[in-house]
Amino acid sequence: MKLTGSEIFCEVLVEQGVDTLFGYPGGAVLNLYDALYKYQDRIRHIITAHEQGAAHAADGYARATGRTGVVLVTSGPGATNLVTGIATAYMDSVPMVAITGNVPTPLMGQDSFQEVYIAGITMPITKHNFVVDRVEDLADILREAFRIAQTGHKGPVLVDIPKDITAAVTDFAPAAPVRDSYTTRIDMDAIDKAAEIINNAKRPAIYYGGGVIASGASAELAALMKKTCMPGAYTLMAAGVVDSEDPLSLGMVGMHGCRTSNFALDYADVMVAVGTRFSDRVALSPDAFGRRAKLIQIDIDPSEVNKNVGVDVSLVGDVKDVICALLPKVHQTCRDEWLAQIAEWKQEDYHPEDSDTALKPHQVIRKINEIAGADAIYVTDVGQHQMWAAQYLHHVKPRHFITSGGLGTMGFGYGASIGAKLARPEKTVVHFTGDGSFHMNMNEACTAVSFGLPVITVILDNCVLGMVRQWQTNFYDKRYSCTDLNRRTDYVKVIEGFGGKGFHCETLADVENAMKEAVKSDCPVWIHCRIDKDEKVLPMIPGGCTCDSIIME
Amino acid sequence: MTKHVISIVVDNNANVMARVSSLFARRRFNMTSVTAAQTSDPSVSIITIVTEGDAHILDQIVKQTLKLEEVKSVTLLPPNESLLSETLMLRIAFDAATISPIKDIVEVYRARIIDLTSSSMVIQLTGKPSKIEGFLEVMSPYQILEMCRSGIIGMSRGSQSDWWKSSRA
Repeated sequence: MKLTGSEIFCEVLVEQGVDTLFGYPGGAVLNLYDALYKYQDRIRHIITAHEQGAAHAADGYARATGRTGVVLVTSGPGATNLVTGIATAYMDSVPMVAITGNVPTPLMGQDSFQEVYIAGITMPITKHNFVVDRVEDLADILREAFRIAQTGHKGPVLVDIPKDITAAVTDFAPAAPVRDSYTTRIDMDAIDKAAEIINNAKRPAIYYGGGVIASGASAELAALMKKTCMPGAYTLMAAGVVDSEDPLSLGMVGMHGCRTSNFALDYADVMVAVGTRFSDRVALSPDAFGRRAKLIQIDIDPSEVNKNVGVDVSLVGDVKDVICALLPKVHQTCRDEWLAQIAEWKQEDYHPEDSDTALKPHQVIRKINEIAGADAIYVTDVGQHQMWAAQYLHHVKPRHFITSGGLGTMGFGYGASIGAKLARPEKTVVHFTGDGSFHMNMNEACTAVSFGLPVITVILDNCVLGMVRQWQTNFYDKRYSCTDLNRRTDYVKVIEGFGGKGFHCETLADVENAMKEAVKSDCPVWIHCRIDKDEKVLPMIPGGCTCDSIIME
Repeated sequence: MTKHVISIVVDNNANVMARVSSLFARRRFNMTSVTAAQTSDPSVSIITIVTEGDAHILDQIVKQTLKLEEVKSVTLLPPNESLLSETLMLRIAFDAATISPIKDIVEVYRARIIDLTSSSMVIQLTGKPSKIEGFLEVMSPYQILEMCRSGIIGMSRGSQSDWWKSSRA
């Protein structure tokens, strides 16, 4: 069968099971878009306001489903606008295929109009990237891109297609969808060693991260926790893996994790790190992290072993496979003393005070959570509101809390919410944001309106860049350099201008009424909540410190 | 800091050198020297890198490099157990008083004079790194006009077959 490069592109997308494509047309991708016109019954294309929004939408789609998100943009500025979105996906190991058009091959390297060397630019933020030189290679390169993105330690892959390749004609042979070619080789000696350490432990704890979600190993992890009576602390990326109100759940760990989690990992005599990378926001002081513990690490990526913190036993492989091999080797155990200690820590932990007069972040989040329910997908931007959402939502299921952890991308949330809503139209999608983050990409409201996506945005507006300001309060002697925003944005008017609905809220009752309206809405809704600018995210452990330095007020 | 020689077998694709050096740059791995060329199999190239670092850094260098899609294997070449070689070119100024001792050194080291003018010569020397270092030391009293080194290449000793297929993780 003879097809053009553009038709091959569409055929491979269909063959790989891609039903939704996020993107933005332009000169270098005119042929691709012309082919998409013919494939519109099989491939839904979502045009965003900005390519960055398209990248975050593909990311949100991938995080909500576990499937590879796909984004298509033109050359030059179209391609560079993807960069933050690709880096966000890279840092959080999200499978994504980004396709960029480029100028025709004869014009490459000539500083042609809208030409940029996107393969060079994205080299450090992709698992791999390709420049297609021959139309004969196009189909296999695209398939390889999907294979790489979703195999092993997942991540984004970019394919740059020059315009002449999209017009050239060649033979096309259909193929099956690519499969994850990764296989775990279980090291039984290491499994036995790990099991022995766990079986001899007095105060063991699990510290788990996003790798558990990537592996689909929530049930296996819960089984390990239960059998060994080993409580677990989750990173920001792993909220929802295990019910956050489970008695064996310690809560979130790290800089803004709860005191209980941080104390438990600090006092543990055995720590089992599962699908997590000892980042500097958790292992705040890498030399002291898990200082009383024997460390066992389970990860699919051998380069994560001993990267930031040295471990005693490493089990390299897919998290689910490794836990399944470990489970029969560990003993059924009760640890009443250890659990009593943890219960005591939970009592002493930070519990914010409710207010009858002012809107408090934790009360707003809990109220929204109560109305939207455990089945809703919660998406955040980055900053104080993100930490509050992580702390005060009741996390029940994996893939229901979507946030930019590694890169900390302000402006991530709205695009990601749109992607999540398209992936899971039956679910309520709530986007928590702050007035800082939201101003970065609120233009995506037009996308939500155009495609009839009733994403609910809850703006925790403190009129300042709260997280930066909190550091200025604590560590810079209250010199509030450039964090007082003095903006006069009327959020209700803005969203009405876009074609959605908005509510200003002064009280918790206002929030409740607005949210009840919002969950019934068929268009995007913004719920604007004014909070005090001095609200802080607590507890906090400053960077480089241990839980001995935890700030509780 | 210990010096290490790493032999990286890669797909002979455009950009592969950029990918490896980009990785070294962004992870702040040291790169003392680097060489790259196609092998007897035209689809395969070998990149030889001399780097510095403690055991932990070396472990990261090997594992991170192995993660690159186009890298087939990463092999450490311990200097005492491997065949290492480097080529040096040295342009030296000479006069009537120095030409004779320079020629003596060239002979002792079995180097070659590959270019000669009335006042300068280019000496080429190929050998293991310690020989190159030794030669440079004895030449240091003379006036060095220009110098360039190829960077180290190397192989393991013995008769290995399937040398890259066996070590891919």
